[in-house]
Amino acid sequence: MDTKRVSGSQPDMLSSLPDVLLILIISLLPFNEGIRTSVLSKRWKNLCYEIKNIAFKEPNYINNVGRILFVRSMRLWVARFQGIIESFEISLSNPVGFVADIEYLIDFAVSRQVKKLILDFSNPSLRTTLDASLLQVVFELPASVYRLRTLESLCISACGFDPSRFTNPELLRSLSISWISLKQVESLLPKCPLLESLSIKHCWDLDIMMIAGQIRELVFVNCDFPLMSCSFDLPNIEIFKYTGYMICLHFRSVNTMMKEVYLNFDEEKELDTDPFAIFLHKAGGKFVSRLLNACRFAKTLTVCPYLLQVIQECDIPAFLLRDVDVRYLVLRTKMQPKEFMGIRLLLDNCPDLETLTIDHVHPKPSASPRTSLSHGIDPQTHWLQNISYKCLRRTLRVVVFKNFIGSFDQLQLLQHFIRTGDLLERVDVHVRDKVMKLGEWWVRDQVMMLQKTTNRAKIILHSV
Amino acid sequence: MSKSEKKIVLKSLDNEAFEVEKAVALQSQTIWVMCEDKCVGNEIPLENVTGQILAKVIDYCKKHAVVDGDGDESSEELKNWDTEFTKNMDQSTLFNMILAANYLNIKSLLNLTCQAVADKTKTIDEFHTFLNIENNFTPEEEAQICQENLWAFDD
Repeated sequence: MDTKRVSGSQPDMLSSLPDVLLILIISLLPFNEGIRTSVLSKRWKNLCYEIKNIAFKEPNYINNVGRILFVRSMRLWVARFQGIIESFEISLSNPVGFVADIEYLIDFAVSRQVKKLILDFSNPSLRTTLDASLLQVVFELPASVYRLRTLESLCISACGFDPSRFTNPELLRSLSISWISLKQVESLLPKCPLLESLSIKHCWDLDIMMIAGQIRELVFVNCDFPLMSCSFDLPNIEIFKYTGYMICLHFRSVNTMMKEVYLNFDEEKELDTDPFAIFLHKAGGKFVSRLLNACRFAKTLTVCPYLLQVIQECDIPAFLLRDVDVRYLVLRTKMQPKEFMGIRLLLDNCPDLETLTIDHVHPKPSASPRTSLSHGIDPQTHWLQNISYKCLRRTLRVVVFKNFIGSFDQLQLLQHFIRTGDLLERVDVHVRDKVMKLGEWWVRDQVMMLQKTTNRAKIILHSV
Repeated sequence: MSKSEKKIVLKSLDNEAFEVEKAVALQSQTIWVMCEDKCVGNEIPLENVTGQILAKVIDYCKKHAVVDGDGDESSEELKNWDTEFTKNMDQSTLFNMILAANYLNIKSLLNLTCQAVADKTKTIDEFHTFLNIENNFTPEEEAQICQENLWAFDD
């Protein structure tokens, strides 16, 4: 069978591939590396001008003269371009003085029927939407893009645009918008029958009341919702991710297709004094219970410390958390006693759980046991109680502990699972490199000690 | 009768015959067109692919075929399988797979194999060695090309 094979060092190996295929290969390299292939040999010199995925990214360290040169070389480069464009990307922070150049480049991509357009003009030093909202938008999406028929994916950051102006977005599958005041995005959605993925990050003035359609993936990150609520009618949704402050997220029906839910709510800092924060904390319990029930078919669920605190506040019987289908649960927790009831509630309602990940956010080295009661919970003895859950008796096989430092509270919780998990096969303990360097002996001691308490489960230490 | 209609025979360059499910073979646009044309019987000769490579292509197509509700594999599993599939291929197999995927017009396999080459050649030096390219530029010519797209060479 092997007689026809040529040995790897035969020089004609490469010439067996036609240019079209070489272009395909270099189009899959990071753009700069693709361009660098022009120095390989004479045959390769001009292949890079047919790369299908173009990505001009401003280098990090660049000064103002460098920026002018960079913009000029982008123009020169596209002037030599010969091929068909799949994707076109420009990243240039705060493009003051370059608006005409960028419009020229985008018009060029549009004239080549680009399918995927990525425009990032955001300022990396901005942290919050409040900072960003004080700045003027430098660049507005050019008119040519609104008319483009071939567009399948659009990703824009700090780029002004008017959702109602799109005339032909029939092929649009993926839309990502960030760092902008975003109004009336709802007017765009009915025009995009193929839209599968919608992601809105660091946007403000969001006036969405209801998102409806065939969307499969919906992501919000740190947006400002003046209405404090958002409803969804998304029968095909599979992935839902929300990061930001607590608002009322309401699905109109149970989502049978749901696969993954990620919830990361900001913690209210001055819970004791701010009446609005207290109100939200109370309401939050209802919001999240109802939300989790609507997403109960999700196989993967990630929750945050704030959710673990508020979920017990739900006092409406119809909204109370019921059994969910989750197989893989990630508890991001600060391991504060006020989260313990939430942890128990979730475990109690995940009867088919197979893998549990505890991600300890900001663990404290000397979490010495306090004797005082906190929220009616004695942190010293809480996990010593004989509580067991269906999943611990029937399905849970793997526990993963991230950010392990070997503190008292961590050990208590782990011992609790090792003691009560009848089918537990493995406990993966992840320790940060930093921590390993400081106290490897301590961590190893604790892991050994845990291993001594069980014959059934293997405790495995990972340094990450 | 209906069972045999569901099968199809692919014949390689070196006359090796492979009997496969139609649903598996039809992932190749080339074979699909041939079947549509009905200019061939149940046996399709593939003049550009050796048996060794065709066997691998069929492995891939079987994994990616959606046969009567059988395509229940999660996308993550498929991805891992793909990675394993190309991981240990030597350079000549990889190139022949690219040529075969191109000839048979199986877009996802073409993408996968090209990506595998791209992953193995991160630097210009790796390109020279992995692809056996002889640099036939003079140093002056090379410097000039670098100058033209300085921003891409600068890091």
